[in-house]
Amino acid sequence: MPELMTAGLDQFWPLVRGATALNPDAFRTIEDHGGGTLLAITVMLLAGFSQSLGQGIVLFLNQVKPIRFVLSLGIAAILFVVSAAFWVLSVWAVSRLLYGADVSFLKVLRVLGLAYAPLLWSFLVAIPYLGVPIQVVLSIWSLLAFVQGFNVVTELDRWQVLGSAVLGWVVFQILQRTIGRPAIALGQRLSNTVAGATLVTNLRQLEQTVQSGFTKPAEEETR
Amino acid sequence: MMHAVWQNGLGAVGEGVGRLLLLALVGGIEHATERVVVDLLLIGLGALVVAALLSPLETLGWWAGWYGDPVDLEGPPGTTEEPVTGKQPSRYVVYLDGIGQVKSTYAPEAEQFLSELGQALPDMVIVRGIMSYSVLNKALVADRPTSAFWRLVDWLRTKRFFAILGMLINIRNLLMVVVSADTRYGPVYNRGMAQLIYKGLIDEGYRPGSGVPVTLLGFSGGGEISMGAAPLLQPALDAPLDIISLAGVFCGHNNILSLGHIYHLVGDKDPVERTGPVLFPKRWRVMALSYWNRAKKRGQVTFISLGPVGHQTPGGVLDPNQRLPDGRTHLQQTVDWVTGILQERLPLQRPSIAPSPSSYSLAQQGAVNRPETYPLNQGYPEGDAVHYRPIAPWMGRLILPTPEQRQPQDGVWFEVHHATDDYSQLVGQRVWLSWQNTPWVRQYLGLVTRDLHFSADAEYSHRQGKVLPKRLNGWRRVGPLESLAGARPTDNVIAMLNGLVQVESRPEGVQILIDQDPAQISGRFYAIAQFVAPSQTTPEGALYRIRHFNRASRQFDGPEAAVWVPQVVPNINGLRPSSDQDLERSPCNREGWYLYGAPDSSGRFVVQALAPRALFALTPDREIVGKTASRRYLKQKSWAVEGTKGKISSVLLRASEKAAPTFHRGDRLLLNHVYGGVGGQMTEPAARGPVYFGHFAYGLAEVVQEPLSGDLRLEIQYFQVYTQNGDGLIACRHHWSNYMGDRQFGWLNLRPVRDVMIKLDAFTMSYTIDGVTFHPLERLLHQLQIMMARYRTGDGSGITYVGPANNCAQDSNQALYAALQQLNRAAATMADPVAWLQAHPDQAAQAQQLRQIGQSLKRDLLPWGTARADWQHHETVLGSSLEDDPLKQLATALVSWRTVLPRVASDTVITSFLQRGATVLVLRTTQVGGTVPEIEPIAPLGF
Repeated sequence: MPELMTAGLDQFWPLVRGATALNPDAFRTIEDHGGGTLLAITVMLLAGFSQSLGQGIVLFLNQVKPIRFVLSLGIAAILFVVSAAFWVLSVWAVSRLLYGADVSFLKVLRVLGLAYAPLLWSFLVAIPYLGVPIQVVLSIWSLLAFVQGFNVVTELDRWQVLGSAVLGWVVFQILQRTIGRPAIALGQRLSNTVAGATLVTNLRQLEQTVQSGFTKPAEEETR
Repeated sequence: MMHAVWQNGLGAVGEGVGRLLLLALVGGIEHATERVVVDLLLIGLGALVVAALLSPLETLGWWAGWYGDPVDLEGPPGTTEEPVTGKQPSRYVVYLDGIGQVKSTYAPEAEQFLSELGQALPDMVIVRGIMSYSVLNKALVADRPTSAFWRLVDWLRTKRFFAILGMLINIRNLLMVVVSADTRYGPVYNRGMAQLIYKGLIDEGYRPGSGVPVTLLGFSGGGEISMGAAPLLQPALDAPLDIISLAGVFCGHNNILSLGHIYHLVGDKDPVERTGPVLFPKRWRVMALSYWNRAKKRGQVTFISLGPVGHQTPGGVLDPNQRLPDGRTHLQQTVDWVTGILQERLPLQRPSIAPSPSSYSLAQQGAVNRPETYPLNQGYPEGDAVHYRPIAPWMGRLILPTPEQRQPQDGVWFEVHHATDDYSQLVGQRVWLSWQNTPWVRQYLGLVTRDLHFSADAEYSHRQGKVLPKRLNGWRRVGPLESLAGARPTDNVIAMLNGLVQVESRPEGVQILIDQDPAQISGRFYAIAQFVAPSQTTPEGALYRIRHFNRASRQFDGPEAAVWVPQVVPNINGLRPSSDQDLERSPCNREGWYLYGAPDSSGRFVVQALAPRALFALTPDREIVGKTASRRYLKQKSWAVEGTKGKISSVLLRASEKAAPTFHRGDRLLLNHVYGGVGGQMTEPAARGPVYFGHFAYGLAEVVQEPLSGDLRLEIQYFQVYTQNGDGLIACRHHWSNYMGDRQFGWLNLRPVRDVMIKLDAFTMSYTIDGVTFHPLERLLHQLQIMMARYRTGDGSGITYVGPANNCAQDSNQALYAALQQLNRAAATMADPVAWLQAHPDQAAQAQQLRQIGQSLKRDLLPWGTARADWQHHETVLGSSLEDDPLKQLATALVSWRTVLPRVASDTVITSFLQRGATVLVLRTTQVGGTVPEIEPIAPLGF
């Protein structure tokens, strides 16, 4: 087993590069690869870490202290993987129920996990001004990787793949708002505990916080 | 030559990188040397990415408190208790350097610029030494991990061979400009800079609130820093704030609309400044809604060309050696411009200040609309106190005090036109009008008193011809009486006093104290009469024979008299708002008119306003009983305008027989008003589209006994939540004679109108809960007064805008919501509700009814269950321009969609009351009065 794992990770860079280039072979390789699951989870974990690094401003704005900052990044990466897994689950369920795709969940998880490869660059989102367009590009890129990968693993046509993605997204949103609530609450509590503060993630609200202390007193005076 | 190296500016960055990229693209990779170049280039690019990634770190770390002191969120830094020493400077100028800055002392040419500026402006303070590119205000060479590196760079770049290294400093600071322009990091960085500038000002002795103007002078990247910090800085300083951008590069994303003026000085040969309009999308012309483009559109930005001048030295705006064709050095020219701007002695190409004409300004040309036409020494018209009555016991003209005459408590002069008998000696005198000291008045004044500084929006609208409180611009702590008296450019607000009037004689003169807003009126006296025929018709008006109502015979067989019905002035659309033609042939003439007016200097009675007597008579033409029938009439039939021109109607609605069918003297009724549009040949601009929205207002109607006839009639006042407009209509209380009846400014002859009187005892009675008296209707009127006062000052900005989320209907109903909330809170805080109900069985049923109406109104007005958050928290939201946040405004409007459209809102409210057992009287008027053949009525949009 340990050899298998390292064998899987040996393939890490070639596969990531292949997935980033939207090469179908990369997805085919991981589909039946021995250490594929571990590799896929590693990709998701790193992508999650990269993304939380790219969006680190949220932690800064919440005035999280350095050590907790690093821990928060770790927790965010893990939560990213969990949520990604659930999203894969709902896509898998939709494709199975709707289009009769007969593929095991684990296979789908491997392929779609690898499809997160473009998000490994998410840390670039932190670049001032250019970061926002970079984020848009990366999102589209990873969606393309998703379509390519899902297409390979399920052999559904492109429209069915897109249909699974859209409906999967809807199901995922519904789950989040219904039975997924306790899980989300737990995740939030975890993030807050690690960060040592109640994290506010709404950028608009954060902007107001940033401006509040400075302008408020003067305003109140004149009221 | 040293300067060339010293102040590389942004230009060198672009040039250098461009050249390298070109090399990489054109050159092949076969040769070893080129391979090295490409490798170096990649390394450079990688380093740039890393530098970019790390660039926000200082700012973010500062905010997160990683560098020791946590950010002080409690208040602005610095102290405000600085004593005034000597003469106050006339202005503070804050210099923000370009991106070549490494430390708080500047490049030689910048130093020279500042010192020459200082000499030219001896009465101003120049704040300098702010590190524009560090929220910690730390020089690059100061105590920081990389300081040794920057010291080396700073030293090396003075050596000829290493000049290119200066670029590193530029890149580092350029990245900070980009951080400031970033929508995520920008707010934090800009707050940091605002705080630094604030502290810099305080250290130089600036006192916030002193009103001393401040100018931010930003060179190159300093332009972005100024624009980022200014919107935060201005409210904290509470003073006019301008920006001078010297070849500034900025993103155009910051909300600069509330600032004063922006001057943008650029040379024709400046390649660096030109990158701004290209690189930053918010400065593209297509982004019409960006703050920068909106500021430009409003004439808030002045562009000044510096001629054949570049960006950085040599040849730049601060070059002390290069000369212009006129012999001045570039530096000298820049100093001249800046001093010119700061001393306000430039012939600047500002848009013309004279406002465009408006209906209001045109109306002022008519003598009939000027107060001096009606002298105060005339008394009753023709001395006839039997057939003429004063409109109210206390009437007069509001006169805005001069700034020196202002008192700590809100107050204005009151030129007494009429007083109660015991104070008749005051008539003709100017007395001081102010407020009684009651809890409600204190709360009211506290809520609405504002410093008034015109926003750029206000200046713009003023130039467009809207009537704005121009005279109050720049005043501090403007109260509701001042905003009422100062609402128009001249003192021509004639008003009656409402509520309890106290008169106090003090050594400095007589003071009149009130506890409610005065209401605008038209005329001073009124009579009840029929028009017989014109005895003389001239272009200026018609002299009409009238016959007075005879109280004894109850007929129009009283004495005949002659009154002057002046021709009114056409409005901005060329339409006369009322006519003096064929008044005797109007269908309303049979029942007679209330004629409101005053004697002119020749003693003849001038008819300023008209009202059909039958309208107020409380004798409905029809009665409808039943929920469905009532609702059908209200929603469909009441707005049928075809064939109704010139007529009035009065219909009584009751949901069931249980509701009271009659009105009694002393009844206080809630009034709901909606008007429609002017169509036909002379269709008004607002009604030219496919739909016409109309207008919504609440008001108060009281059943009184008419002394001239002995009959019961309605006495009506509107509480107009009305945005600034070209008609000069003020957001305030209006007596019917003014808002509807006025022949120049009223709507009677011009628009179709539906006024609905709502009688529901549960809403109009008062409750005593735990010793505190609650009066739902009174509460609503209070909230409306607050809303009107806020509209008059635009919460200090000088203007209130309307949009889907904030308009007459939305904000009137926001007042209703606030009143209902207060009652709910009162009920909730009751110590023992059960005991109270048992102790007051008489009030229990009513209280229950009131609770129900509160609930059903909330349900009907906000059908989606959620209250608008801004209503619930009573936030200080007032109509701002729709451009501010179009999507959010539309979303907010959707949540409260039933209160967006005036007619729909009105139907909803009235139906709610009807279902709770109210008696409702629907009064409709359609373009009543003289003949105006060019117009037709248009009903407002409903569903």
